[in-house]
Amino acid sequence: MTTRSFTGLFKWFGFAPRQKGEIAEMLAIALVIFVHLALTTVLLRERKFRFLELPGELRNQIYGHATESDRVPSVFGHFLGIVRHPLRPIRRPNWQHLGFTQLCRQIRNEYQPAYMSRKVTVFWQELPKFLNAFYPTLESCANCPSKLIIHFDQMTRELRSPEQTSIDITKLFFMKMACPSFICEFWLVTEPHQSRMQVLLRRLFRQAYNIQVPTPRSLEIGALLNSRLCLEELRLGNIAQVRVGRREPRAVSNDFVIEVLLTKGPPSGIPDAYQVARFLQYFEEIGLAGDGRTSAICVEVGIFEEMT
Amino acid sequence: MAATSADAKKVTLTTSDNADLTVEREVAERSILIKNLLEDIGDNGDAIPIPNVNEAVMKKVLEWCEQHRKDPPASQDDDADSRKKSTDIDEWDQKFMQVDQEMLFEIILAANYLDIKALLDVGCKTVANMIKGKSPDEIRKTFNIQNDFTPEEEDQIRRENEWAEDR
Repeated sequence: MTTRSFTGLFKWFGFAPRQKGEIAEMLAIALVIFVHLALTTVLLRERKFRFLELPGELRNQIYGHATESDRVPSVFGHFLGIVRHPLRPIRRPNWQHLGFTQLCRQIRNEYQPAYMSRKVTVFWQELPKFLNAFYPTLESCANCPSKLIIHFDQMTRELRSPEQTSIDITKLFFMKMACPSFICEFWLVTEPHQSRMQVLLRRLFRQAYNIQVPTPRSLEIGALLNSRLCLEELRLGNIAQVRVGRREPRAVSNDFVIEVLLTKGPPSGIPDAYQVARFLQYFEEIGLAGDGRTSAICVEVGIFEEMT
Repeated sequence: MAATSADAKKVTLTTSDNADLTVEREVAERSILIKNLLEDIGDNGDAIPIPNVNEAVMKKVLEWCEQHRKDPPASQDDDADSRKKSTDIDEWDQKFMQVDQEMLFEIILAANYLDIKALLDVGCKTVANMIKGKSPDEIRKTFNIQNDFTPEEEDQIRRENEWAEDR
């Protein structure tokens, strides 16, 4: 539109600007008003949901719905042949609301502990990646799931790969240490040697978790035999790592081992050899270690060597 | 300030912007707040002030109450039941909640203030559904939230996403 036509328009409305400068000024004002109105309209139309302005209890309610809706069964074990009961599904959380824990610090602090406190199911071969992703430090184990179910469906295949001969399960003990109500279950498998693995891991955890005896004050073997040994020794720093893997050399296909690796020169100052003997005796007492008669799967005790 | 009449059993609600809305008492009593107020002050015909809800939102809330007037009253167990059903929302309620985000926000606040548990539940489920399956960036845009994570925290989040991608 030309200046001449604008002038005609102003005259039509009753204005009679005498100079071009005045017209330019009026055009500028009109432009500012137009932009202002347009922006206001757009902003009003696109006013966001003010999530952070909701009262805390309502945010909690939304968090609750989001968490619950992620507990949809997405895999049915009987299709995969890893659950004996044909009607018993594996309930795997589908992580559709994971993004909700990753928005900003406030929402993450509010929601992540609740989101991660649900029941979580992972396959054995996923466990290292899961622990590394959500529990990068021992401190973060405090936000553990209420129940962690570990399936052994592909364990054999995984452990045959040369790069992953054993899996570090130390953080599971730290979860139990931080949250006494934490439950870790090892679930059904189809192959006989995996079943033994499952049974022995269960026994290890039961022994570590559930014996209700006061914490020993002395380091005598007799007292430790009746203690929550693994937890206490991890807390004291005497155990560095607990791993599960295949025994080397792999002469037998079902040759699994739980490795309890003790800290070299532990804080307690007790000699390494004495510590190893002490732990071996404990694991023999609870039926997890020993000679060839039960050692298809067993506990081995060694000294943890830092990787350089 | 029109009042109640015994035959129609109507009540008048005065909203925050001084609009009078007359509705059947049964409909209004979906709100536990209004129900308790009516029981406390008696049926004296005075309008009931609702200072925290404006006319537009109140009309919307009453529309929901009208639709759900015959629903059984809320009980203590409702919370547990609704949790079990996760984010499933009745078809009518889904359409009802197809409003702009500001109105959704106001409906949730109003349902909370008026103590209408079922409506509050629908509102919260609607918000939970808005988030479902979305990336953090998409949700931030929806809720106008600023990303304030440190590079270390971003790295941690990246690891979480890598794990979840395979699920």
